[in-house]
Amino acid sequence: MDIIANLALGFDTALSLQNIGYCFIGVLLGTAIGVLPGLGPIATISMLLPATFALPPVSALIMLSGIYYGAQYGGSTTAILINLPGESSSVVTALDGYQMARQGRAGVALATAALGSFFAGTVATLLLALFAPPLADFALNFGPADYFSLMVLGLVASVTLAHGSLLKALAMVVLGLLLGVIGTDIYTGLPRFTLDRPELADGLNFVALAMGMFGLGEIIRNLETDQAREVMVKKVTGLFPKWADLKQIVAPVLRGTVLGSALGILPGGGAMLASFAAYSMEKRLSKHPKKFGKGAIEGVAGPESANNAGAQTSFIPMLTLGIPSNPVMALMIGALIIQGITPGPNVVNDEPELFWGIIASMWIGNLLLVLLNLPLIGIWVKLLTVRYHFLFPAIMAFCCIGVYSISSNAFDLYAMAIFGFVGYLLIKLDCEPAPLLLGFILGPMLEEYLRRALLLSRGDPVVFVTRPISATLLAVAALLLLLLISPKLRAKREEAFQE
Amino acid sequence: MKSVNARNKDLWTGILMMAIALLFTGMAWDYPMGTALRLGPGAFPMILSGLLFLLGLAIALIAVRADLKGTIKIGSVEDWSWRGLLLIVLPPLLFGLVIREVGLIVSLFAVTLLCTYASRDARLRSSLILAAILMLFCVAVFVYGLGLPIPLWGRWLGGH
Repeated sequence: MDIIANLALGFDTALSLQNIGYCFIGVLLGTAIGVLPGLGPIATISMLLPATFALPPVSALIMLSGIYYGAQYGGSTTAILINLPGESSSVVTALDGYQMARQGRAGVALATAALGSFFAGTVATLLLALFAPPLADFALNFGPADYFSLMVLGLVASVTLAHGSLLKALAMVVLGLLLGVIGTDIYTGLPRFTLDRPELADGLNFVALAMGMFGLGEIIRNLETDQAREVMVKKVTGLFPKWADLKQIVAPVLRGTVLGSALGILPGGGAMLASFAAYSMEKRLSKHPKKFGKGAIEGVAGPESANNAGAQTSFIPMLTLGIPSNPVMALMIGALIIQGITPGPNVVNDEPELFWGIIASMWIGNLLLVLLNLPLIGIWVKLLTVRYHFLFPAIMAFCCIGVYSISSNAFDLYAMAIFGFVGYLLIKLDCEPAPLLLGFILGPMLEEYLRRALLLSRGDPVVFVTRPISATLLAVAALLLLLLISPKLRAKREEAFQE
Repeated sequence: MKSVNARNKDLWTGILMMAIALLFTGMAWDYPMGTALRLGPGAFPMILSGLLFLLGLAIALIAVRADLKGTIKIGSVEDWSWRGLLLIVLPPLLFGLVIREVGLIVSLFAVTLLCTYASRDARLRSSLILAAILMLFCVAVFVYGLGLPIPLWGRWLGGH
């Protein structure tokens, strides 16, 4: 059995003292930012990126992934205790979780969320180990034209997740691609859009861009609505669910895990989509749908399992194809590139320690999260009430030092400030910045595959529709676009977002 | 139905996207387009700029069409938090300008002190305390802990 040997290698890597340490830091930070007001995984990961440049790639990725799935745990804590979802993926948890807390069942809700997440995380990790290698093998057959089409599909799919206008989200993707083109052309050495600044020769610094848009831009927005948070539940007791509760959550957890794992793999998928879908599924399947929104334990178990499963399986396309399914995965790809690793199907074979180490670390991380979350709930409750106006100067300080430490260059700070403004401007115009980041990361790769594909086909653009893989991918992308602009589905999608 | 405000935002988004597209087109004008076999450095940016322009146009047109009977307000910026914007965007610029000259200790203190005023609840005393704590923490963690090569005192203050 290959998989056992591979997992053994993975655990060997992940269980080194150093890597357990980074995994622990990652999930601890992830939980903290999930609990703290106004600080999300994108901003945190971009702040920590410079600090990981000096680490070995495995440790860096282990820590960054820990932040991502750790945030799912922390986000559900705030959702349950104060009705404020810490993460977008916990929005639906707040519906029933907070009601449970008001009925004095906060402990049970938290335990349900943690246990459901742990189970889902374990299953999703196994799925990742089982399905990623064959997918990577399959992707080895991909030519440049196929990759081009795959990226187009990924970008189109990412738009489905954006709130609001589809045209605006598409515009954000294209704008991101354009910004990604800035820098020296690799074929001719011609500097493009560099405004004669030598600092732009290697392109815009993606850490500066991400910190500006997601760090600073978010701060300005959050300051508009900063207010004190009240924790109604002062002391959380009754952490252990009763036998009757357990029986009630088994089915929702299983369903949530399956649904979340499937949705996480899809391009454009991830934790948020998974939790929304799981909630509406539980509501539909329930024998007493009227209890939903009034403290139904299934409404916590299903979505919480689904969002964690989705968070884990969204690593599959990132690790095997080099395609990010959401902005956090885009940052991971950026981190890999900086570490000198080309994301793609070769990672599984060329860097087995990295690949299997990350997978094993996820299971360890999930275990650590259960241990961290339930007994330490008192600490997290205290963190909940930290006022934002004490928090954001710290974010600011870390951003400034972080971006300056990349290359001791003041230009990166100016870029960060400008993108802080751009990020706020986009928020004010109801344009979501997340698709822009995806486009920015994929821009240079998309151009390279386009040019290489045309070179291989002797300049014949028909190659994109004559190669079966490429043709299929483009057809799916086109179908998706058509579905998205069809009025019927649009109404449904708006309805879903409003719920 | 979208509110007037939302349509207004759409219109501005469309205009902004078209302007950016034109800006990039202008800069990419002189880059060689190449042939279909060997795409030049100008080809991909031109395709993208064209696409962005069309998207911007579509967004703007839809907003205008939906609003033919109503009025399009030009610029509703009253809901912008100028204070937050200014005091969050300026500090990193300041940090970049003076870091070499005065070093980490002074510039970090200045940055955090300045940005606390982005919040309306800022009070001088707590801002000073917060800035001092953050400065000490960052110096301890980043310079002594992680060993980042950032000078504590800049050129002007006798550092190097």
